[in-house]
Amino acid sequence: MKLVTLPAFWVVTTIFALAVLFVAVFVLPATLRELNDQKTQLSAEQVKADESKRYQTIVSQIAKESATVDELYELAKKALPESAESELLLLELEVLMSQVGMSNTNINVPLNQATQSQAAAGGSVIAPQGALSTTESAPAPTQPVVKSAGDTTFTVSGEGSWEMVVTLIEKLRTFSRWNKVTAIELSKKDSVITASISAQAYTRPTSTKFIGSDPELLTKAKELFFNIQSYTTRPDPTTEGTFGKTNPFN
Amino acid sequence: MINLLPKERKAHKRLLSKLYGLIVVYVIILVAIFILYLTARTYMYSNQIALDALVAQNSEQPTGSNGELLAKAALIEDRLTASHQYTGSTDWKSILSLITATLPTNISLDSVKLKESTNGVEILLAGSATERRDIILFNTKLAEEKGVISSSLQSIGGGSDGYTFSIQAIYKESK
Repeated sequence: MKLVTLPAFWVVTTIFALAVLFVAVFVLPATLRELNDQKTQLSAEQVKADESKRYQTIVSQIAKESATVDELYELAKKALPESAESELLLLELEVLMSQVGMSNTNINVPLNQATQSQAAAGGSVIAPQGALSTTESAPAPTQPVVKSAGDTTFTVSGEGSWEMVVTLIEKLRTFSRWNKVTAIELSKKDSVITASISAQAYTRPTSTKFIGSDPELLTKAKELFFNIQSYTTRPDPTTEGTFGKTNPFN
Repeated sequence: MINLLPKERKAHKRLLSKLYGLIVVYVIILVAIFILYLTARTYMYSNQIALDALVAQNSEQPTGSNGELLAKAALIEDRLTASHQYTGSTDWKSILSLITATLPTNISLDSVKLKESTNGVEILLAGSATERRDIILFNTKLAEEKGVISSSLQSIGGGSDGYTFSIQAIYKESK
């Protein structure tokens, strides 16, 4: 007699086969799928956790150097402000021009963007020294820049030597307000060089979200912003000036 | 010892013991499968705990104490990233140096106009010289300079006491 002749053998084997089949069809694939999904999710969360850890490291590094951050913030805000900041730009340019040593200087800065087109046509312009002058509108910059309503085209001009002109161009390159020189006009009359430089200064909205993608942020920012030259500060009525007159016409 | 059981009974008994053996093997296999399943479930459970912890950790927002500092850092980061868009790439000083370096000693310029254009920097020069030859020499020298895409003489005028001229050139910095 053989084992296969026993009905109990078939009953037991069938039960076993059904059990194995159940595991193979229903339990194993579902478990493997779940395990795989979990692994994927885990690795994704792990990446997120690593990023978060890196972010926290950068944030703690920034928190340690809060004084530097404050300093860099002021410089960055000055270099590329949210609004036109025409008044400060005008004051900065005034000091810059006096440092260069040119005479009969003219500084044309549109006070606001509503008047910029008028300024280009010889309208509302500010000229602290000398007469008001009409400026030719500067061409568009060659590099793509997101145009903002507060972007300002300014012109500085004055009389001086060749060295002064070169110095002026150099100083505009490291000027506290980022700018792109768009045109330079130099002419000579009676051995005096008259220079006129047009440039574009920009504005940009404030970014509120700190991404923290660069661990070298502060080092790079120091390299960039500590090399730019500021010439004056915003007038502060709380610390400077004397106010109050009995007769305003005196 | 003498086995007095009938032959059929003995064979049946042997078969039954084989069947029990087989049942034991089946049970062992099923238990092994069950143990494997339990192990996998335990592993998955510990993974789930780790996953939950990571999700909770990742969903935590940075604390508010650094809010102001982070806003400042955001502006610094933004300006740093965008800096190349807002600062001029044209080296105006080197263009002026190029003009002075290529100018013949007996030519003087009366006006220099440099203007950014889509092709590069447009250079307009006007000046005076005692010899026509020097003017042409200047234009030729300028055209040969690195970065100067084109240079053309626009006009030569004047007479016995000297000549005036104008030159138009295009300069583009090679990257």
